[in-house]
Amino acid sequence: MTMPGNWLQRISILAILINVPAIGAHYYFAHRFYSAAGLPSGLRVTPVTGVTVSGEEITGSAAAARDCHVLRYTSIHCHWCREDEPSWQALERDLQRRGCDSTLFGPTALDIPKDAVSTTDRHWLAVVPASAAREIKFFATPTTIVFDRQWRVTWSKMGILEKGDLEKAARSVK
Amino acid sequence: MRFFDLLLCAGLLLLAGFVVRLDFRDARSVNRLTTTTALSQAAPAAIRTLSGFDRLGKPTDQLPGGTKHVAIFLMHGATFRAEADLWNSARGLYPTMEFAGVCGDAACIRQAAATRGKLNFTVATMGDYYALRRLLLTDDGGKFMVLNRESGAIREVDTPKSSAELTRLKSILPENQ
Repeated sequence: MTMPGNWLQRISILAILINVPAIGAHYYFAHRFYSAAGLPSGLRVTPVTGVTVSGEEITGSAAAARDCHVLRYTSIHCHWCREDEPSWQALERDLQRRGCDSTLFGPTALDIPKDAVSTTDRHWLAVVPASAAREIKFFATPTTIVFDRQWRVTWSKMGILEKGDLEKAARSVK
Repeated sequence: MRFFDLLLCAGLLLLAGFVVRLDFRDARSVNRLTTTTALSQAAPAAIRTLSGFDRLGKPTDQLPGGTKHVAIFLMHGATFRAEADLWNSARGLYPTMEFAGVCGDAACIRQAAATRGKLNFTVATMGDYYALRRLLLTDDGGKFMVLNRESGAIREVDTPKSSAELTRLKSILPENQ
């Protein structure tokens, strides 16, 4: 083999040696990020109960009454939650039209807007039972999770809602 | 042929550069995610808002007041009676502390409701999400929290399993040092 050929070969082998672990690392990070970012579809959780900001208790039967449910983990102290508010409201409206109710809570009761109003299809929870903290592991605000009637995860997204998410979330409860 | 080899080599190098750059970005994202949101030892949080009842059985939405320190522990439905007996006696041993048990499951909530007004400590059936997650982790490690209300500092102490262990906490708990 001539010298230039040898040089090319060595560079190519080096590039392959860099590529293999680099691609492996990318898959590792992608998996870690994914596993931390949302709940796997099909996972069933206990209906999210709690006490609303107005003091009304949402019982298990009330929480399981609708055909589907959307859970939003949010905070007034989170910049991205404010940025995401129009998309979230559009998603919530669309899912409520399809028979879902929505449940919203934050890391603490102080993360809930002072003017938050709970309605029959929108529950702003100030406190939740430990089962919610045990079964649903939120890592960041905002996070949105869609459940079917039996509180099985059909779609979830950590972070702001993007173009196409509304369709995906709506499709998941059909 | 030489041109093809060069093209292939350049392509591999470009791909390596791209993927390594992607790795750095991924690592930064994962690091940011875990440091800002993970429930690590560096981010303790005590329950502040709750739904439950106090020692007298009256509804309450806050930790018991009047003392500098509050012990916050998780209660389990399967061992509720034994835990209730143990923590009932704690207030006699540590009169300068308040105690709050947080139900970790539905069975505990049912039993706590049945013993309402008969327990010597506040019982929370619900609370702040983040603080509950932190308390669950603390309990998984066999510990409970002692909150210093003035400084907001939280100390994690081994959960006593017997009256003897509860008595031994005298040397550990803040009010007794």
